[in-house]
Amino acid sequence: MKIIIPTNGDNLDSDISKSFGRAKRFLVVDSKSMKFDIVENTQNMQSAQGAGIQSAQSAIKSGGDIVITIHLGPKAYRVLSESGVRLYVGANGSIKQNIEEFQKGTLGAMTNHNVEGHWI
Amino acid sequence: MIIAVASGKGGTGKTTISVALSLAINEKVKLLDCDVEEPNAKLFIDLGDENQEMCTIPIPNIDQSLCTFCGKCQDICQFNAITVLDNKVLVFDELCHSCGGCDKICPYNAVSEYEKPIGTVINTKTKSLSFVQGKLDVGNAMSPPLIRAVKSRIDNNIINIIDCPPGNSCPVITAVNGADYIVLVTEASPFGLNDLKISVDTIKELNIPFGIIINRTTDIYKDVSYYCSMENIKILLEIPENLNVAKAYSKGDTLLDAVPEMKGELQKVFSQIKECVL
Repeated sequence: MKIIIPTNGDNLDSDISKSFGRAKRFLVVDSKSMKFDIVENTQNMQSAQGAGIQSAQSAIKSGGDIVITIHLGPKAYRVLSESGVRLYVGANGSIKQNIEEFQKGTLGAMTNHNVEGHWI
Repeated sequence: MIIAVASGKGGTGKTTISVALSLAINEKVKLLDCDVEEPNAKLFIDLGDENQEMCTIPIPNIDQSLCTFCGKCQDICQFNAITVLDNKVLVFDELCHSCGGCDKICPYNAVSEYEKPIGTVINTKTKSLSFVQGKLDVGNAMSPPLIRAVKSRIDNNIINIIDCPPGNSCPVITAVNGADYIVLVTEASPFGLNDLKISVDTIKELNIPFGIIINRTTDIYKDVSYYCSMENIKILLEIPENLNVAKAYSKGDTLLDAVPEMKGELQKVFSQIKECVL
């Protein structure tokens, strides 16, 4: 399956980003082959509002089935959960480590947003 | 005539001055409290019977049975207030700026508008003084639509004084837009001066004549008046630091109650403004 993880780096050893909406990019990883694509997200970093929404839309467009993220704000949560993408709470560490934890079943499902929005 | 009373830093004395100026001028005056997130002029002006109206803004409602999820509404929205998924449309009320674009662009008539309450406008008056206040509902983040609703009560036949929100962002620009003159109230402190400079830069972009009232002056800090003389900015009035003004404020009394001589001083300020505008 395709797993989407926000990051400021550009490969599997890069750390998972603490922010979803303001991450520099998303790695879209095929969990079987561990091959990945990069979806740029820098256009959302300076947004006055709606960064989470636009980032969620990018993630959905990439065709991912799963999003692993440490934090998710209320608007991004609403868009992702309504779209049918499955959400999991990530852990500090690399993208590779997070995928391994997910495959072991040790990551918890995200059932609500876990941070507030930055502005509105 | 429309006089906007603004500041950079909050707490410099906008409401104190707006209220005192409204009471000091010997003409028919309307005071409009546009600091809609936390209006406080009413603490000092109690005119009796109030007329209260709810203020609403139009927000889109999508009929999902008519929608084909083409995404045109999402594309036209400049504020990310609409997200179109494969089989549903999400509207984010709190981001919507009520431009009406989605309604106009939808090819399937799937967008209608409902009126969302955002706050209240109250009106009171006596023979010589009218008062209008806007108060934003708790939880609402956008002031400009309510500020515009308050300003729609401006009476062009009399003197209108607008008590503006603090700072220099959207709410302030909405409040001072269209004013004939802006009075910038600052305090004699480094923080006051820092924010005053930002306000001056902002107002110069608007091309509206302005002058400064320096509140709470002391013998110790002179940098604000120095800045004004260096920049050739008109100082309308300097009000010395006075504990009696704070005491009066805390009781809901006005500047004129604490320092009666201010009535004459503020009438002189008004004459200076009239000279500049007319």
